[in-house]
Amino acid sequence: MRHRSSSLLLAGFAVLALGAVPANAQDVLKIGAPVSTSGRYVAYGTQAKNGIETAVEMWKTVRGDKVAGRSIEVILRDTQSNNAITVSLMNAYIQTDKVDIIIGPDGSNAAAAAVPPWKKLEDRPIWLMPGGSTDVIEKEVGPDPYFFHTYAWSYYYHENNVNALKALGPQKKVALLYSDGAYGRAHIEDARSYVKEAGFEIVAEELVREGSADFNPTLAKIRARRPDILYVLVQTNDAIQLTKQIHAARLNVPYLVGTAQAQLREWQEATGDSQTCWTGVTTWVPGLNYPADKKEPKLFPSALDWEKMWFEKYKASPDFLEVGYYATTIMALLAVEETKSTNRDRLKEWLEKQQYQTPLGDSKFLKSRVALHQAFGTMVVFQRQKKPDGSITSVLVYPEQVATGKLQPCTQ
Amino acid sequence: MDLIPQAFSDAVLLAGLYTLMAVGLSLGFGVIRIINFAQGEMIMLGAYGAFWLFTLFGIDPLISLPLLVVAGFALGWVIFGGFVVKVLDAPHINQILLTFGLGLAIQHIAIILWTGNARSTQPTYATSSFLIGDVLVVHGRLVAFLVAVVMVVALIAWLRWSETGLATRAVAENRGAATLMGIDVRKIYALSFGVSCALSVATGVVVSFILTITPFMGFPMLVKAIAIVILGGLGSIAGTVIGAIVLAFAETFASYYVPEGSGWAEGIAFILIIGILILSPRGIRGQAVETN
Repeated sequence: MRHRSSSLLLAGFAVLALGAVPANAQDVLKIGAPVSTSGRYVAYGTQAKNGIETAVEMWKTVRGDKVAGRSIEVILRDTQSNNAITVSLMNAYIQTDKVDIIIGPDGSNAAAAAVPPWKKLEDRPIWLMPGGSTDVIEKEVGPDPYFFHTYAWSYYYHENNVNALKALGPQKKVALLYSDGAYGRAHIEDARSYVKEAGFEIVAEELVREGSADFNPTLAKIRARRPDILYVLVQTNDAIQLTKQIHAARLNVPYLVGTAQAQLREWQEATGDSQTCWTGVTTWVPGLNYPADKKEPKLFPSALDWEKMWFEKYKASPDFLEVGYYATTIMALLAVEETKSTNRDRLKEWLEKQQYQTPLGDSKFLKSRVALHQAFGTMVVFQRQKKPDGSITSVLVYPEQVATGKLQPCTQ
Repeated sequence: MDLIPQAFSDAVLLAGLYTLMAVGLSLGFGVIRIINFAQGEMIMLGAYGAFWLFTLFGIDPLISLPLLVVAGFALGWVIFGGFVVKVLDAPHINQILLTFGLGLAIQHIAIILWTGNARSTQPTYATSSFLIGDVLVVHGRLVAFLVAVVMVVALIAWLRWSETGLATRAVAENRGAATLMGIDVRKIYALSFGVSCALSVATGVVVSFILTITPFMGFPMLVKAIAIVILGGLGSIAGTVIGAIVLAFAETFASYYVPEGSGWAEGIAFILIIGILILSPRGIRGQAVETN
């Protein structure tokens, strides 16, 4: 009899405990955030983490500790810059943690790895991706209604880069240099296609090994073809070495064109004077003059005010992923607040309709080549120019509306 | 434009760098019979040492080189006494696991201390160059080549003419006989390990202004160094120099003369290595290695 009572008591506790789980879950908004806070892409992961944390802090300051009556739980986990771990994290977020929204991961490699585990599940949550530009991700995700890309796709880089180069006039000779890694191979086709469309002549197309100890053979071959523009598609580590070698190699190429690396503090700090004259393309550079949002001026202040706030907090200018993760996280919180729900269909409908003026520009989602939802694709092209006092700064050269200077040829 | 003189110049300069990269590993194996899988991380530490001294105090890498070489030797001595000595007589797999684990630990400590951000030192000679006819020579690569020559010549001189160097060669040739002659084998092991680490740190110092510095830079260099040492023959300094020359020339000429060659250069070079090893399994100047 005593044994039976104990069993009943245990069963009662079990029922109470089980009952408490869903009630408790409803009180919490769970955001899964896979970030690379160790390993090769730690620089990206740190930016992602800063952006998310600042957004949540800002929300709490402006709107209080809760969103639609729920407390906010951001589950930050380290991908260790490892694709296999990213896959495990995505599975854990969706199946174990039952997160309502996923934000991240940072960087194209991890982002591409995260697609299959998310895609295979019927009840997958809303996924916002502020990092990851390769269109391989876009092709893998396809026209999925629950995927929201909040960064530019790789082909936007080349569309904008080439548009900026068109100001140089027609009949320019271009040398393309790309790495044999995922980055170079993901970009070369679009770069080639936009360059040809602009009427430029491709006089050299050279492949380099990622992590090569010497790029001089490639540079010697390019020098022999005398291009007007050298268009480089390599990741940051190679870009640092290549930038220095190009400077030393006296190529005498008037225009040096890069993609994402030129906006990174680590590239700028590591290349010194060699970075002068390189152009880069980005969604964000310090000094952008986007206005504050009229509906949410505290969450989305003007770009300059937001930058000032960031500088006061971190004693450094924000990087592009920091502003991207900030804007994306605030949008996710607004979606839950406005719909009073974590239901993915209601969130999806709200996200599709919203339009804010964020520090990263207009947040409206539009269709891209394949994906249904793409925001923050507006890019600017800048050139690293030396000022009279010897410092090197980013001068915006495209589009005209935001330009602060003109594209200058390199002099060596 | 004839690219052969330029290719030849690039290959020679790269061979110098490869020699310096591999010679420490070769010495360590030749004497102690342990392949130090943490050798790449020693290179990384040398590069960071040069970077921080340059960034914080403006000390040119060439000035910091002697200081860092001494620090590298001391670190090697400590690592030998603290860890390697415990697996001297253990199976090879234990030795591999220990040094590999040490390398991973050093790499992760570097990430914690300095983040994974890519860095580089910027002395003026790193990005300046001069022309000899049509051949462009980058000062930074020439400096690296000269440092490599000086270090390798100093190593050979030490092995040939100093008392400890002669003792080191004796231990490398026959450990038992060296012991009977009264040589303190453990001390020679520690010395060789220290010198081997010092050479790797020197490599790090010169690559700090040529390549990109990250906590992960060591492993690809270790792979290349192992390939060179195997090609030249395990434990042979002369073989290592030859191996480095073969690899550098194969990579450079493939880069110049094979379509999309820079992408294929390493692949072609490693195919060449496999070919040589099929013809001469001990490498170009290798010695027989006893296995347990």
